[in-house]
Amino acid sequence: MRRLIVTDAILGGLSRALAVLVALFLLAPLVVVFATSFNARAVAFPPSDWSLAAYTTIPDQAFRTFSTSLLLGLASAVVSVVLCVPAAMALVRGRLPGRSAIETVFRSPLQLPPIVLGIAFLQYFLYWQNLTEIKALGTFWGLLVAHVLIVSPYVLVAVIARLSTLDPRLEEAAAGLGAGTLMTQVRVVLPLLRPSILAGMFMAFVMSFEDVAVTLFLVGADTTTFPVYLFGSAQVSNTPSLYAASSLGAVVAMALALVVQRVVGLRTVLSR
Amino acid sequence: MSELVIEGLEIEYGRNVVVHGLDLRVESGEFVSLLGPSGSGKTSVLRAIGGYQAPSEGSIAIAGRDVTDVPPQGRDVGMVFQSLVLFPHMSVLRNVEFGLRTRKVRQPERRRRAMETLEMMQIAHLSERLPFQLSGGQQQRVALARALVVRPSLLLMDEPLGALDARLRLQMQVEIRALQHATGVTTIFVTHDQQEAMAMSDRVVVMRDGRIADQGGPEGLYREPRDRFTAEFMGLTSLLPVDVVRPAGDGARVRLAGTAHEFDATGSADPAGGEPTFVSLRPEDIHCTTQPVDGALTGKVMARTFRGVNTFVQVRVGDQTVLALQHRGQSLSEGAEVFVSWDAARARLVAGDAP
Amino acid sequence: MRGAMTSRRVLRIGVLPLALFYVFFFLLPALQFLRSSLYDSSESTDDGASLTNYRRALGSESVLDSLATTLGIALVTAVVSLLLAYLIAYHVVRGPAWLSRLIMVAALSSLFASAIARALGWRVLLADSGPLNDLLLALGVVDEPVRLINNTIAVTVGMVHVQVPIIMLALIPVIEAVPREMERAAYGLGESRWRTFLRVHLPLTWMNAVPIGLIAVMATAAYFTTPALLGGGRVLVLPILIQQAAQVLFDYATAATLAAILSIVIVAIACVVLVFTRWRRTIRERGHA
Repeated sequence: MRRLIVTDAILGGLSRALAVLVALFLLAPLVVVFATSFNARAVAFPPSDWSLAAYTTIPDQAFRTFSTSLLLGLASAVVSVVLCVPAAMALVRGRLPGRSAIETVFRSPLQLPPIVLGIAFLQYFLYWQNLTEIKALGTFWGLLVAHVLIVSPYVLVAVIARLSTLDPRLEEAAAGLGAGTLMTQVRVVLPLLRPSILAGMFMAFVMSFEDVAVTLFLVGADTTTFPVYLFGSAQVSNTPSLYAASSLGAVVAMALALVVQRVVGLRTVLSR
Repeated sequence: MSELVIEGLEIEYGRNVVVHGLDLRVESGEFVSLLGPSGSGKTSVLRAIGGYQAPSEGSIAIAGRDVTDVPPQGRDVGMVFQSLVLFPHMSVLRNVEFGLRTRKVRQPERRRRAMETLEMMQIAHLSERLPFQLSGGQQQRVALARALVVRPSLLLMDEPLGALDARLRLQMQVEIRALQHATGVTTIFVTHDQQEAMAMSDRVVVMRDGRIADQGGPEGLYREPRDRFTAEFMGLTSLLPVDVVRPAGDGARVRLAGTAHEFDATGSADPAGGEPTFVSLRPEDIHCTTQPVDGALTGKVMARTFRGVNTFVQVRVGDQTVLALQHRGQSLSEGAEVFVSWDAARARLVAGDAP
Repeated sequence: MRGAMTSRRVLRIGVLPLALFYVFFFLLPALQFLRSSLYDSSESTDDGASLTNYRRALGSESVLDSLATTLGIALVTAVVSLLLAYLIAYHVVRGPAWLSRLIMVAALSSLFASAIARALGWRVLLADSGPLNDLLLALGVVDEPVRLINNTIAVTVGMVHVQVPIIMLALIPVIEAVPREMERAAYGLGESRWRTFLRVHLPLTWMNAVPIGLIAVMATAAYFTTPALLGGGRVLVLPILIQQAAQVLFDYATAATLAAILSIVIVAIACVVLVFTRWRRTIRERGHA
């Protein structure tokens, strides 16, 4: 019995130590990026000289694309919510025939490789451009359309999950008190959906803000997103300001995650 | 004009018929209970009246208006659900105001009426609280207030007291009945608890397997049940298997099965379905004495159960076991030899198979 | 349905905006894209729809190499990530609070940091003159810096880093579902922790871990950003090939063909997942196969 306890303790300690190592493994690149951004001239870790010089040499274009990405993320989240909330209501309460098939279709953009979606959009926009002279490639609207498509599955899933757990009797109670369908949805259902709508919007924003593979094909000279800009720079150069810009982006995303955790709790968001 | 008229109501869930051809009339101001075991269809009937369940056949008329095809919004019926279903994100006041809001009642009238109803329920001081901050009993009252503030023609209650503890439950029964008397609103109350139904109702409708087994005032149903099911459902009873010898007056002459002992009983059993016949005796109507009594049966006390208010004794009489209530001053011990007798007027003839 | 609740039907309209959006911006592009893969990419006169492109692609050595690389990396990533993720997920659920919190913070931070930031971090860590090589040299394990960057090793490490948090989050509910009492009972009966794990945990969780692992394979095979940044143009997984076809060669038909092939491979794996979960369900319902 004593031998058992000892080996147990050793194994237990070992597995815990390994877990710590894995945690450090996960944190390592982030720490490194952050630290590297404090180099003044060349990329080195540990930083050869600690300074904020890299942050001051971030090109203007980085900030321009940053604000484009912020706007795009926000717009995608909002448009997606406007489209997905009524759809979720229709699917969960409207007793649509073929509901699960429809739901699967709505979720399918998640299953396709992003690169495939990017190419498909590229071709599609080109096709329409040839046909109608309407330019979507390289415009904000084109990007918006593509992003709404990528983020909608997240929003839809979040809202459907919550709507399904809502007591259907609530709507009956409202009806019994004289409320029509519209009033019931607006005054009773929507307020109760608010946490999941916020959670969905958050996911949508993050997915949009970070997307590279789809956006890569749809950007233009004047309209580029932050991650695509970083991606392009990273492929041709390796300067501290690149790391500085990346750090900023990462900080924004993490700050947002913190806010969501406070308001809604990240568990709501991350459960699929 | 009756407040509620139901004719030929049939309700199906998929292929399952849960309510068969039901007819019911409820008069204005009446408190009617739908009483029955689970699966008897009572909740389905209630939901159909409220408009939450569409019947497959039949019609429903409220205050003279045919509402069979009218959705809940248009029926002027107040409903208190089993789980109360208060709007969790709204304060008590806004919950109660909801029905007034849908009827386009404006402030300050709306607030005034809501507060009035809350005061009547003695919870006006809770108006700004949220539902989760309230106790079970308080939530009950909010649910009632919400349903009553709009002064509906009909009030429906679906086993609303199920989640409360025994003492609160009894208290609420009294309060609800008092409220109903004060407001005069026609009420239909669903429950599986026969004591609750008897305590609160003007009329009890006993349901079984989607049909009405019997209905009537509480006392009438208790003393003169129509069949075995109702007799057993309305309270504790002993069933003695009997054969009918011949009709006698309003009742019949019967003989205890397997013996030569004959006696009179009220009621008639129509053994149309060839159902077995019994005489139903309530515990309080059976007398067990240590002194011999004319025409009594001999028996032996098998068990004794002390229940505070009452003491029950199980007495073996021949092949049968009866449950009797020990009378004041008596003290029967186990194993005692007793003489069992009863009032002829209290012996009730009923027919029916075991459930 | 008479009277009651027919107003619900009205809600059905709500699906229209999203449905229309999907028709115009998902189904139509997808169809058009598939169609384009069926037309010959070389300048010959239009032969009509055919599978020439596919035949050519699947016959090309570079494409087959790419497929092998893609799937190989995906498989290794999935296996390694599954193991690591299981370890930390276990400790999140059953470990001490400090460890649980540390792991969650690490996982969530890396999840929300962009793929680019993470790849850049690895670029520095795995560089010839980077800290990892410095460590190896200092420990005397090697005599000169090991090439850890711009190759499949870097890509795999980067992908593992991406997948571990995701898989961990998926595994947490699976591990939580193992009843504590069962573990305690086994432990109380004298089994060591390790054997408790083998006899109680593993049997109850492997059926859920497998589909998660397969999904990780699908996700890794579809990834573009990390291999592009860490492969240095030498690790040509299929997504990169596709991007090159489109943006470097402007050969959209080939790009479409390759993309279709990638999608088919992924869908095939998805079918395996489906079959597996069905099989798992019958086992659960019947108690045996």
